[in-house]
Amino acid sequence: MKAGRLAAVLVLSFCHGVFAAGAEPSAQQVNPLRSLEVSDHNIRVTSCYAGKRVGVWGRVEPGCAVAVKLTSPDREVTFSRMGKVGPFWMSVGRVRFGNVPRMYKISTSDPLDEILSSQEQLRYRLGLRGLRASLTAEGGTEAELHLDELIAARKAGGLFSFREGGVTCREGRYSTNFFWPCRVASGRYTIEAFAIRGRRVVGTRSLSIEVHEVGIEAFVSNLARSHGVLYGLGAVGLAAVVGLLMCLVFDFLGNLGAIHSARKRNRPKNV
Amino acid sequence: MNIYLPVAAMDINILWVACAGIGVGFVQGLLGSGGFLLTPILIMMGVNPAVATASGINAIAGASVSGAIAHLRVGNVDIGIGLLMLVGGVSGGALGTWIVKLLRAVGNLDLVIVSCYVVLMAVIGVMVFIEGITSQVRGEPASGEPSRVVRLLQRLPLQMRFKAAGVQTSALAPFLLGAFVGVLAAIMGVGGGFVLIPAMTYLLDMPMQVVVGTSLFQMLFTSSSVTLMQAAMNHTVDVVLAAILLIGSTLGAQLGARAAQKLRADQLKVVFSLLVLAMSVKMLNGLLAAPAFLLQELVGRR
Repeated sequence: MKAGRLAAVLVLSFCHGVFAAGAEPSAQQVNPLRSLEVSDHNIRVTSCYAGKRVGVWGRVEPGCAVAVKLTSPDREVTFSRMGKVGPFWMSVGRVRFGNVPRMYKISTSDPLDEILSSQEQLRYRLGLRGLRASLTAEGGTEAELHLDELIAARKAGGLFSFREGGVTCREGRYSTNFFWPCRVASGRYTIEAFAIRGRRVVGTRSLSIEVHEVGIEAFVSNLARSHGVLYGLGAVGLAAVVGLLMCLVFDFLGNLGAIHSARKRNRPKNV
Repeated sequence: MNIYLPVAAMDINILWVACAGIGVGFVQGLLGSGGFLLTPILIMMGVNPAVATASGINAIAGASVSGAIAHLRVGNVDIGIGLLMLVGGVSGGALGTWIVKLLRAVGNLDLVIVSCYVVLMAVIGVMVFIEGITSQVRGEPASGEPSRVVRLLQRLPLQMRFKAAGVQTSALAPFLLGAFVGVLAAIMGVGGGFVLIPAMTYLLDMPMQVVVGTSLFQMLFTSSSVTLMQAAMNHTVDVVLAAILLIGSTLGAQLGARAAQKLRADQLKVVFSLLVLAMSVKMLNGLLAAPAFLLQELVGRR
């Protein structure tokens, strides 16, 4: 059983190697993208969490341009379409999009169109063109127009970004960084770095970064998400306890104050 | 000093939230009303309106505990009226929570919450303004014959006599009143004192002590049940946010009550009403302005 699984893994990794090599003939001996490192493999969402900037760096064969991409798994998302009804703006319909990553960020050492052919951009889903072509929208040509709106909204929310010149490349070393905004779901994110030469991708490496809530935050958000009733009871109970405690504290302070002023009043008479 | 709110999934400056709580509590302690400002302030601070209303009602549940117990002990709660209101409040709260779920799925919840607040704050602002101006001139509010509504209530079926309150009215009246407040609690995150207190005073003709006690009693149970239902159905209660608001507003209320002994409330009422009107105008402005993006992500669908 175990041996079978091991064999399968070996075969798979062999195939993977063969195909990867086949796709990149110039990368037969050494991957021109020599290494990929990140400052954090785990992002811990604690009560002080206010987003996180993660540094990405590595070594690359001199003469190559570099693109670094950060993505999260694709999913289907539904947006409401806002329209003007009378004087008010309200939701007037829905648009469904497919293959939308929760987060998509790309940094490149040079303007992407100058270093990479558009076929390669589509193939590796790089840059605005590559991303846009991979998204689908339900509802024909009008929905296609909404794709730009979707990308703009995600950009404004800090979830999508396209930084040309965001990678510094010097003497065979490259580096960049990505910011995880606060409103990001926990889960697995992928960072992929691409070495580019002659308008083609000649080498890639990737690794994953895990974002997860820890401590009280994890407990609270799990409870809220999956045990709503229990969480609600807890919320009410906690509020009641805090309310009562505050009341006791002020009663105590009030009594202290009363005693204090009574003493003050009494003292001059006695002396 | 930022803190991460696990349910709202955002970071917020804890000091600003505490200040908002203290400010609202202060006004409440000083003037006797103002709790309804909590949610609009949170919305203006960038908290999602659905989370702001549900967490606000959670804070109100905590804030009304001690008052309700104190009034129960003294016997200021008319249990009959209180229980009828409570049944109404829970039913109304359930209805309201369900409406919130529906509106959220369609994507118009924010619009409804904000419009409700625009109207509410405009009405309260104008009323408090007039009250502040006229009480300075006249001093005593006028009271007279039982109004048409009171007479109508006495003709409704299910007439009952309520001992502690010393009134006779239809059992439907407190039930419907409670239900209305329950809906408001779910959709707007308000305790509803601004509806309950005048309604019980003028429509049911109850003595002031019992009005305050009974409304706190109803508020405690309605807000607790609405918190529970929002947490179960909409997952919008942020307990961290609620706790900060609760501590801030309790502190503020104490300060406000102390300040009330030294300051003249009538003049402050005019200032307060202008502030409320300004907030109403600002929120209305936000409704009329074109949104930054014509697509908004729907979050209420799971």
